[in-house]
Amino acid sequence: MGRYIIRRLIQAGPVLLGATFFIFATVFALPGDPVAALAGDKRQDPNIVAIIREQYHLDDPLLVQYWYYISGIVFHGDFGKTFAGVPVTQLLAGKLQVTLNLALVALTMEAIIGVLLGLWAALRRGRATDTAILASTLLLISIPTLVSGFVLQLWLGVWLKRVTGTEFFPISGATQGLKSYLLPGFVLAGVSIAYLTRLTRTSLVETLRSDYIRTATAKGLSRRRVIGRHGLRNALIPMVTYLGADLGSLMGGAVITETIFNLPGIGFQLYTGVYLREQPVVVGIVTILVLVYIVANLVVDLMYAVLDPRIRYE
Amino acid sequence: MRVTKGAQIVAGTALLAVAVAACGGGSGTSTGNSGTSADTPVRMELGEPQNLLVPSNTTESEGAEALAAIFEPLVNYDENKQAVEAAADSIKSDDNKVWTIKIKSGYTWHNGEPLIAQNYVDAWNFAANQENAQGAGYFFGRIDGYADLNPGEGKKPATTQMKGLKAVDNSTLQVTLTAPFSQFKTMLGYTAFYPLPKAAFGADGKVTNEYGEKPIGQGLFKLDKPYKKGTDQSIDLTVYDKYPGKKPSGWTKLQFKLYNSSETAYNDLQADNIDIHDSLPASAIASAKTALGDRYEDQPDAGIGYIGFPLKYNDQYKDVKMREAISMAIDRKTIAETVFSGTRAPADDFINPAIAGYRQGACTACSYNPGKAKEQYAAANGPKTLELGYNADGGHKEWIEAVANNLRANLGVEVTVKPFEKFASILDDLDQKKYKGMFRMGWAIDYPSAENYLTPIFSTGAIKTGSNYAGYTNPQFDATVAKGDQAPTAEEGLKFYQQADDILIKDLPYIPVYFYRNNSGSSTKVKNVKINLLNQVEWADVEKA
Amino acid sequence: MSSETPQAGPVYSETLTTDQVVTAPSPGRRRRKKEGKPASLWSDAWHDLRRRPMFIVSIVLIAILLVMSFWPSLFTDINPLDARTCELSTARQGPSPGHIFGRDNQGCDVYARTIYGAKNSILIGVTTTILTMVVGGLLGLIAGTRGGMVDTLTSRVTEVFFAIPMILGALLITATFRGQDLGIWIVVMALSVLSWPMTFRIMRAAVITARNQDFVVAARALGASQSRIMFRHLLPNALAPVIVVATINLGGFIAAEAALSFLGVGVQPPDISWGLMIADARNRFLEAPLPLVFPAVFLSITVLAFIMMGDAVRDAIDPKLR
Repeated sequence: MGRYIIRRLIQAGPVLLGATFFIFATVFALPGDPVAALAGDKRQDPNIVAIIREQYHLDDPLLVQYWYYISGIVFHGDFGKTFAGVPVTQLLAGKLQVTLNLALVALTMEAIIGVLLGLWAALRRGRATDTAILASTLLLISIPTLVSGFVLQLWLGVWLKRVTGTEFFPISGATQGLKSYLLPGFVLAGVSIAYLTRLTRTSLVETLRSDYIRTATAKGLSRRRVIGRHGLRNALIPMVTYLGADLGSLMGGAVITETIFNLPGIGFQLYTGVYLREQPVVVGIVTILVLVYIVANLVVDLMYAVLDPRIRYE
Repeated sequence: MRVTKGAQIVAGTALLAVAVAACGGGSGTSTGNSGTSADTPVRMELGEPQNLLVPSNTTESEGAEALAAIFEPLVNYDENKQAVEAAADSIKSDDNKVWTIKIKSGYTWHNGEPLIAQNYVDAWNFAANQENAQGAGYFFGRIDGYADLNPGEGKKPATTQMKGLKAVDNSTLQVTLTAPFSQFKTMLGYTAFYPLPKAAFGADGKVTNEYGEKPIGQGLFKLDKPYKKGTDQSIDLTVYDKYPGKKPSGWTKLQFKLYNSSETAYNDLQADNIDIHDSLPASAIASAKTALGDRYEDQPDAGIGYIGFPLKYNDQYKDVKMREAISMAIDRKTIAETVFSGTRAPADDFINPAIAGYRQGACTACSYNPGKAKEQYAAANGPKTLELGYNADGGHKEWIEAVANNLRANLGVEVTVKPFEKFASILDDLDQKKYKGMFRMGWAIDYPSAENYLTPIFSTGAIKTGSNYAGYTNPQFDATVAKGDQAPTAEEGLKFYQQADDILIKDLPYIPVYFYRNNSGSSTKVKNVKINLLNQVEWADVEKA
Repeated sequence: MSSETPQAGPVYSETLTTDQVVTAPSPGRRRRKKEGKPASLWSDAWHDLRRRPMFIVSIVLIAILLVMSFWPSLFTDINPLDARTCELSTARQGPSPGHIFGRDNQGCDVYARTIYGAKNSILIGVTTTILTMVVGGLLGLIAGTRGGMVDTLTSRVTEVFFAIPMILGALLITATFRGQDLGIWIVVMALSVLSWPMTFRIMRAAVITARNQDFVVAARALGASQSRIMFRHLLPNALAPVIVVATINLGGFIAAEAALSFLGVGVQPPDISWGLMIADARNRFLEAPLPLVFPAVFLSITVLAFIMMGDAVRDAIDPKLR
C-alpha cells in the first residue's frame, strides 16, 4: 500500500509537467491577438501592441515562451503575471482559499443530501417518495445555475433581509465565514446532487440484490444492519468515485456561482484568464486543478480497498 | 471611453449575458439599522478596474470612476455640457494652437507636496511615450512632439520630452499643438490628463507598481491602503482634509465594492448593502422603477451603438440607397423599449444628446419606415442575403437578433447572424477578408465634444490608426471637420461639426441604432446622488439620508 | 428471512412490491429463465425488455420526441424559422390564443420554437451521450480489467483531461475548425472530448469492484478469454452506474450546447435548440418565466424518458436478476 502511494505520487510529476505544457500550448494556439483585444471596441495603437507583446514574449515560438515560463518558476519562483502586471501568485493566493471553502461546502452538501435522498428513494423504490425524488432531481438538472442562483439570492438574500432585518444568507462576498458559503454552496452542488442521488439509489438497489446481502439477510441480521453495514458500504464505491472526481469540477467550474454571489474564487479567474489569454493565469489554475484531481483520485482509489476488502493494492 | 467596461466586467457580462431581473415587490423601506454616523462609508458598486490605478493607462469606466475620486481634473463639465475650470484657474489660447493653462493655488498632493505645472509635464510625457505602452497615450497625439515619442514599431524614441509641453513656472503650463484645435479645453477633463506627483516615478523614470496600487492624487479622496488588484474586494477611501474644493457634508468615507455582475450589485442595492449603483442592467430596470421610485435615475449617456458597413471590403454595400433602406427597416424604438427596457434610446443623429451639438431627428433615414425600406431596397437591387456580425462578449446578441429579424421581415432577405468571440476578432476577419458582412460597433467618447463622434470614426486618417473600420472616406467631410478644428471658438467649431454630421447622414457609412442611457439607483441611506457627463458621481454633493 | 418485515421487499426480488418507476421484474422473467438456456445475454435482454411497462412507456415517449424532431409541423401551424412570425413589440407577453405558452424575448412563439428545437437538442444530447459512453466506458472497462500499466497510463491522461476548463477546450476546438461548417457535430465533439473522463472513472470503479467477485474469478479459472470476461461478465455487472451518469449527462449536454453556440459554434439562430432557448430566456426569467420553463420541461421529459429506458435496460441485462 505504501509503495503504491509513493508510485502514484511519483507519477504526478510527469502528469503535471505534461499538463502545464499542454495547457500552455493550447492557450498559445488560440487565434487572435490578446493585446489588441484589450482595447475593446477601439483599435489599439499598433506601437503599443508591439511593445506589450515584446514585454510578454508573445512573439517568440511556443517552446521559447514555455521555457521563459518554466525557468521563471524554477529559478525565480516567479509564476508569471497578468496583462495588468499583477503576479499570478498574489492573484491566486486568496482566491484559492475561497474556492476551496466553496467546493468543500458544496461537496459536503452534495454528499449528505445526495446520499440521503438516494437512500430514501432506494428504500421506497417504486413508491410516491421515489417518484417525487426522481422529479426533484429532474428539476435540478433542467434549471440552469444562473436561474436557481439568482432566485435563491433574491428570496433568501434580499427578501429575507428586508423582512427580518437580518442577513441570514449574504447576497455577495466571502467575508462572513461559513454563512457566506451556504447559499452558493447549495447552488453549486445542485446538479451534482442529482447525479449522486441517482447513483446512490441505483447502486444500493443493485447491491441489495447481491448474494452476500441475501446471505446477510438469511443470517437474520436486522434490516438496518444489512443496509448500513453491507448494502451501503458496497454501494459506496461508485458514489465515492463520483465525489472524488467532482471536487475538481466544483473548484474549477464554479464560474457562474462565483459571479452571482460575487465570491472571489479561481473559477471566474480561470474564465477571465482564458478570455484574456493570460497564459500564466490559466496554466497556474489548471495545474492546481490537476493536482486536486490527482490527489482526489488517489484517495478514492485507496478507499476502494477500504470499502471492498477484495480489492488490494500492492 | 466611458461606456467601455473593464475586461473583467465584460467577461462577467458575457458569462451571464445580462442576467436576471429582480421583481422588487415594492416596499423599499429600510430596515434602518442606525448606520448614519460619519464613519460608515458611502458604498458604491464598481467593476474591477482593468489595470492598476494609473491615469494614463486607464481607458475604461471602472478604473476611471475610482481615479476620479482621487484626482481633480483640470476641467469639469457644467449643466450646459461646457468645460469649466476645476484644478485649472484659466485655460486660454489666442490661436487654438498655443494654450496657456494656469493652475489654481491651494491644491496639494496627498503626501503634502504642492501641485505644480511640472507634474502635468511629467505625467503627459510619460503617457505619450510609446515605450511606456500606456493605453491612453493617443490622447496626446495633437501635442507638438508626440511623433518624436512615437517613432513607430521597433524604433526607440530619441527623447523623453514633447517639445510642445512646457512648465513656464510652477503654476503655468504651456501646451503647443501641431495644428489648431478648438476643442482642446474640452479634452482636459479626461482621466488621461491627470497630473502625477514626483513620488509616482521610480528611478527609471517610469510609474512604479507601488504607485499603481496606492496612487497619490490631488483630489477629494485619498486611498486608505494599497489596492491589491485581483485580491481586494473593495477600494477604500477617506476625504483628504487639505482638499481646497467642496467637501461632502456629514460623511468622510467612501468604499467602492467590486462586482463582476451588475445584477448581483442590484440585489445588494435592494437590500441596502450598497448605496449607489450607476450601471443598472436592462433586466433590472422594470423592477428598479417600482422598487426604488425616485431613487432611480435615468439620464443620457454619451455612447452610441451602430451597425457598420464594410464599405472598404465589400462593394455590395456601395449603394447609399440600399444602406438607407436597411436603416429604415430597423425598428429602433421597439428595440430600445423591449430589448433594452429603456437603457438605450433610439438614435436619430451621429451626435449624442448628452453632448452639445445634437439635433433631434437629424437623421431622417433613422426613422422606422418598413414600407419605404422594402421599396427602396428592391429598387437599389440589394443582395438577397445579408451577414451581420457581432462580438458575443458584450451582451449584444439580443438586439442584433432583433435587428436581424427586422431585416428578414421587412426586406424579405436572408440574414446570417455571426457571433465573434471579441470585437478585435471582427476587425481581424475584416482585414483578412474572411468576413465581409455588416458588423456591430459601439462608440464611447474620449472627451465630450461633437468632434469626437466624427474624426476618430469617419475621417480618412482614422482608417489606419483610428476606429474607421468601415474604411469610409470623403474629402469634403475631412475638410469640414478641419474647419471646425480651426474655428476660433468652440461654438463656431460646432457649426462646422454639424455640417460634417450632415454629410455623414447623407452618406450613412454606419447606421446609428441607439444612444446609451445611464441608469442608476441609490439606497435609502443616501440622497442627492448626481452623475456627471463622464458618468462619475459628484461626491461632494452626496448626503447621507 | 422470517425476521423480515414485509417492507424488506427489495432484498428479494420475489417479494418486490410493484415497481412503478424503474423496474418491474415480472414473474414471467423468472419463469422464462427456467425454460431453458437463453441464446445470448443480449437477445435475452431484449426479450425481457419487451415485457417491461417502463420500457414501453419510455420508448413511446422517445418515439413522440423523435416524431417531433423530424415532423415538427405536425404539432404546430407556426413556423418559427420564419422571422415574420415574431413581433418584437409583443416580447415576453404571456399566453394568448394561438400562443399558448406566450412569446419570448424576440416576440416569437415559445411553443412552436420548443417543438422545432427538439431535433437539434435531442441529436446533440443523444449522440454526445453515446460517444462519451463508448469512449469513457470502453477505456474505463479496459483500464479496470487490465490494471497495471494500462490503467496507470489511461488514468493519468484522464487526470489532465479532467482539468481542462470547458471554455478553453471549447475555444480550442472552435478555433481548430473555424470556417468549416460542421454544424452541431462540433458541439458533439467538443462536449464529448471534455466529458468522457467522468464516465471513465465511474466505469473503472465499477469494473474494479466486479473483477474480484467470485463469478469473474471462476470464469477466469475456467479459461475464459480476456474479451469474453470483459464483455460477458464485467460489462453487464458494471453498467448500472455508467447508465445513471449517462442519462443525467444527456440533459446536461442539451443545456451545455447553448454555451458553445455563444462562442459561435453549433446551433446558430435562426436555428433553434432548447439550450439556446433556455440561455436566452434566463436573462429575463423573473419577468417572463414561461420561455424558460417550457423548453426546460421538454428537456426534463427527454431525460426522464432516457432514465426510464436506462433503468429498464440495466435491469434486463443485469445478471444478478437472473
